[in-house]
Amino acid sequence: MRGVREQGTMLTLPATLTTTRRPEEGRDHMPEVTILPDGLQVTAAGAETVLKALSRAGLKYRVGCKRGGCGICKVQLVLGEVRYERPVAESVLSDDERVEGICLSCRAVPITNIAIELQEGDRLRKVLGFAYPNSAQPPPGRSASNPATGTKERKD
Amino acid sequence: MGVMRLGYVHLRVTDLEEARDHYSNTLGMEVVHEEPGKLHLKCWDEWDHHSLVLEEGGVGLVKVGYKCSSEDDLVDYEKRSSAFGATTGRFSRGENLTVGDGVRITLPSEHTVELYTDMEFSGTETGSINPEAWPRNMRGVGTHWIDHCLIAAEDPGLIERFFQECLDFRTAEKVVETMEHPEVIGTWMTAPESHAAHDLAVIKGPNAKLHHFAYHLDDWNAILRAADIFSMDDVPIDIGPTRHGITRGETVYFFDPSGNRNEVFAGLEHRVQKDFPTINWTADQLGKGIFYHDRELNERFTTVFT
Repeated sequence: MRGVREQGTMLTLPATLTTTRRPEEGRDHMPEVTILPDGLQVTAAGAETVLKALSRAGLKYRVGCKRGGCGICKVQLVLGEVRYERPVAESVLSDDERVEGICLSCRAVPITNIAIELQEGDRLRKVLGFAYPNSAQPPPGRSASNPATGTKERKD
Repeated sequence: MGVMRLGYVHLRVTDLEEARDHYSNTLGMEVVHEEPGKLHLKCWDEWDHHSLVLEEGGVGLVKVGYKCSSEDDLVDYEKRSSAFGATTGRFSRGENLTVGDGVRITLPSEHTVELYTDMEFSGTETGSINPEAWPRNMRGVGTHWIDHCLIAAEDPGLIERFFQECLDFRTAEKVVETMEHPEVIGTWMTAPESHAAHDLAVIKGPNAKLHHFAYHLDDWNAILRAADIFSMDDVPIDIGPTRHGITRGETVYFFDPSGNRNEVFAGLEHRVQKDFPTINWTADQLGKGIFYHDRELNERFTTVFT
């Protein structure tokens, strides 16, 4: 069954993407984070949060305190599994939201390859222009990677 | 007679040990009392027992305490607050560590404000006889004292009126829609016995929420040095170092490990005296009023509350 799972909650989702890697706990485990609808992929190193992985790759989106207190950086977890290594207040991320696959990106650590969708009205901004100098989105069907930034285009 | 200052902030944090490290080592406060799930701290330049209570579990404000001159103040304020329509009650000595009897008020904005006259006196690090300028064992930023807090309210005009009519606060500066239609968007208020540019601020936002509370620092150099320390300690900076148009203060906004916003604040603020007028800012100049150099608000200013 495909789905998103976070702290023991499993949801059924449309079969749009597949995960090819199982949860691994090792330090060298590097889950991929796919940001929809752009399709950009970044790699999360070790116990890096979703926010940290995107920031390291030069990608910006709507965030607030970056410390789990305000909930501004919530995204939709479309596929995959995350865990929270630090306590998250119920007032910031409710149980219902967790069940719905809402993910607090500044605190969520991917434990499988994941796909996330930014909030309505938000968009991905590239701080490091040289990562994708000629387009707002990676060209379809073309595979490339940039080891300097950790970003790579989605492989179709 | 009346309210003298913001005496304590009682705050929720998600992880007490991370919070201890932030407030004690990064900001330089002293832990003066600890019990399971709770820490009491003070700054080196504060006279009373504590100014910050950290309680583990959740984020945001539990309550704030304003220190008053006399018991008569408490009686008077309680009566006026009740007549205004706010929920009031009494708390007893010992309910708050080392704090005497007091009045607890639930504001129309759902914040809890406590008024008290007595807290155990413990003295500053430098004392009251021939004091040195600062203590040699100062840690981190070395904040002087907790200066003010900014809370959110769906109707900031109502909260301004409450503090004016019930607690004798003066409006030092305010942001209004326009001068012709002066609906209050934000207000910066000074307590009747205070010498600060403001002891409380209120801006339009969700009830019961905290925008930030602030520590006083010496000057612009201290603000810069604080920002350096935040980078060293990986503390997320919201904005700064910069200057506010409103109050004219110099500032850095930053976040504690639970996401509660803090501020370090310094500079030559506008003087507030009984015979001086309120300084008005209009909504079209709000960006300049809040962040004098950027002249535009960042999205976080109006969306990030705890």
